[in-house]
Amino acid sequence: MRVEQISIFLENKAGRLAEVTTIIAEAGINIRALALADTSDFGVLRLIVNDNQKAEETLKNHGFTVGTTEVIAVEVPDQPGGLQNILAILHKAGANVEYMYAFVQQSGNNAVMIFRFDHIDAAVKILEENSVVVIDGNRLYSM
Amino acid sequence: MSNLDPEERKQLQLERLQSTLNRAFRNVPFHRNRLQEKGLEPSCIGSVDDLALLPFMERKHLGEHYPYGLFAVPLRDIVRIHSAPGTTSNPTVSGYTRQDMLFWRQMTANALEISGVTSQDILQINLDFGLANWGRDYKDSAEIIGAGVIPSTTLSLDKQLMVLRDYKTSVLITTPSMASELADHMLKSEVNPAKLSLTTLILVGEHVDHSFRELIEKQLHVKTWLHYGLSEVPGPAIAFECSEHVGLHVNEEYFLAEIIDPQNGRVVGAGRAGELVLTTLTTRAFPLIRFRTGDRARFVREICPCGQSLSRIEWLGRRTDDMLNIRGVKVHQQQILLQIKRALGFVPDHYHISKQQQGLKNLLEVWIFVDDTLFSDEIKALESVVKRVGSILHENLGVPVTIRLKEKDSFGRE
Repeated sequence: MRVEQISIFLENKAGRLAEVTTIIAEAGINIRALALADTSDFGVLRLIVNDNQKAEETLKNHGFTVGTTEVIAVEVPDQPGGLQNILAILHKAGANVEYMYAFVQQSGNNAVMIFRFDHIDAAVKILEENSVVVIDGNRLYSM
Repeated sequence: MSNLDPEERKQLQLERLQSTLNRAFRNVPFHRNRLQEKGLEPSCIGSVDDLALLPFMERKHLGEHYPYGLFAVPLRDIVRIHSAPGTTSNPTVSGYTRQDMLFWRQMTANALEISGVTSQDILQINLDFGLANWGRDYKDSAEIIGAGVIPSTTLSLDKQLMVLRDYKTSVLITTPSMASELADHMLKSEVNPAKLSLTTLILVGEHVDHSFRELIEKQLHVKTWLHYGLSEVPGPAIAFECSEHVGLHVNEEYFLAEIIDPQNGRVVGAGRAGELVLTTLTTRAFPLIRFRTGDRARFVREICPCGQSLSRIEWLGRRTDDMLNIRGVKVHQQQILLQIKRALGFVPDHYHISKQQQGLKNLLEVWIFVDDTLFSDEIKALESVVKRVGSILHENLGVPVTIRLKEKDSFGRE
């Protein structure tokens, strides 16, 4: 059910993001989804890649602080209200979304969103009870 | 103004030194033990020069005997208790008897009078809360002179300027850092300093150089006077400038000053620069015996044309220890680390502590290098590190603080 995400601590300075993407590209790793959250001083880059272990090792070797977090990938109907419907379900059940971002590829006719929850098991249970499709990690990496 | 001749003064100093040592030896195990370890007792000190036989006191000792371990009188004789951030997890707590307070007030009042303060003046005090103890001493002393006192409160620059202008302040007591912020703000607010009543600026807490004084005197249309004090043991006017503005006269009837080589602890030759060491002569509650201030200074050898016979010191920049002087408040690296530990539960492997200039404002800047232990994929967790560390440091040190999270790889590179 779960998808592994790697996240990288970055200072807010010019060219830092490009350095990360260069390192990843040179290691032959493909970025499947990316989100950057930032403050005026620093940011956290979150990535879904096709080879987590390699990406983590390579970045660590280059001196970056890298963490891994479990997130889930959810199919979102690609139509008005598709995302809203899912968020309403989560809200009603009291599940708090820490953050979310979009996956590059579609799953059939559906968009794919990455969600980060504090209580991941509870969230998956809520979504599945409401017939929302949660995509397995292995399937996502190969999409 | 004190005008004992040097011999009379030496005799007075010796009597006061002996009585300080006797009291400390009798009532404070710390002092007794350290003298005994050297095979000394107070009667061994037969002249002021014998002071050099005694061991030094350092800032760490003040925290080690928290809270009342260095008090030389029973608590019932204490009328005021002050605390200041120390160098350990404990603050420095100092106490004052009624007589101590009277002496401090008189001493500070003398320094103010020599700076030209009279009962005609409106005197405004503007000090960060890390220097709140000094603020109280200046207030009390200015009231003795009969000046109208506007005590220190934390005000925005706008409000300070409003008070300065509308209340017709003639004397301002503040740190050099704050004075330059105020001067800059005046310029921006298009307030004409020449139209203010301000004539006297008393600068405390930080060393200033000649060019700074020239600039601030020109900007604000004032005369500046420098005072020297210790923030741990409040006494804002241990040394003060006279109308000559060359060096600071030491209040030698209340303090003995020595200049030592910080490396080997020996008293340096006349006129040589070194670390200022102070011994209290009248303090009953909280005597300091050869206290290492960490401030660099040298004696000015020539007799002062002002006619006062009190010796003068030139207060030099830089420190002899690793304390940082932030807007007049001295903060110690060890103390900062202890507060970070309180905030986070641990001390980060890599950090960097410095004094930074942000425009005209100097502040404490702490860089924390983010490693696996500190890292989170959630911004709010990282921001909470910044907030927690920042507020605990600000609260405990009383100085402005900026916390920056840095990539761990940049440690040692910047």
